[in-house]
Amino acid sequence: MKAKKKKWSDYLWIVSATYFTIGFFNIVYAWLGTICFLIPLLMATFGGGKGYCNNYCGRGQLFLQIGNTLGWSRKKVAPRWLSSKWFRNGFLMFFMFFFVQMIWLTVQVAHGLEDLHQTIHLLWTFDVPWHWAYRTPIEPWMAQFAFGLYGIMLTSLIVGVVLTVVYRPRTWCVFCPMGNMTQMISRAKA
Amino acid sequence: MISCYLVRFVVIINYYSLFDMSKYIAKNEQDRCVACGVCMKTCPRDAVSIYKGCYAIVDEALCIGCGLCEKACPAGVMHKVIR
Repeated sequence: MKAKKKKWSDYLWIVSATYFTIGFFNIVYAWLGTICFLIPLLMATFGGGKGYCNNYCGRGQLFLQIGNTLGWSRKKVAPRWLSSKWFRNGFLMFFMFFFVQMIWLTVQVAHGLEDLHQTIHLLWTFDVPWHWAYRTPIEPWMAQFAFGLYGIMLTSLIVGVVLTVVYRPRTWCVFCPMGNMTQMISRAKA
Repeated sequence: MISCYLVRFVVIINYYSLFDMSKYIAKNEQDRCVACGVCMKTCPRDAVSIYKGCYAIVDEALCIGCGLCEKACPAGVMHKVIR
């Protein structure tokens, strides 16, 4: 069997890895993460189905690189409840709760009711200091949104990598909130 | 001369894929499939595709039942079953 020919889109994991690297040094670039939220939803809405997940998701490809190319994966199937409807939808609600909280904090900072938190909220629990990444003087609310978004992105990366190592690569995709939303849109349109 | 006819016979039979029909085939639990596309990427015969972003479908004519998609599926909903 000959190996499949690689397309340009098979290298998007490099983009994802670059995103996390530059976000570590300068938080402004965390804004690029909005692309990962908007493109899949727009693609699903305009008839592209889950084309983003299937071909262009850099994070998913990063998990494949870690699990398959580096071989850091047990390759054991994840527990079955992980792909159940109640868990996937429950996780989507959980995720949205923290997303709305992040937006709310951004709004409060914009109105001067809260000071800028130069921390990122990791794994929905820990506030990790991240002040070194605040280099470029930008509007406080823009910085707050960047810190918040980078926290969400890094949290999903950590959870995804742990699941890749313990189970199979891309186990995160089973209950990924973006994947769940795009599938809901696709199902409604099909 | 006889062997020549024999070879031609085998080629014709193979053309109608009567010999290369495998014993196994991939089957997907469509109600649990998350349509992530890992199976589609793994399949060496391009027999798996994602139907409108809803779930994976297997082309029975192309699938050779190798079981690679079953091993790769993160949700564990792809199964290698007897055809």
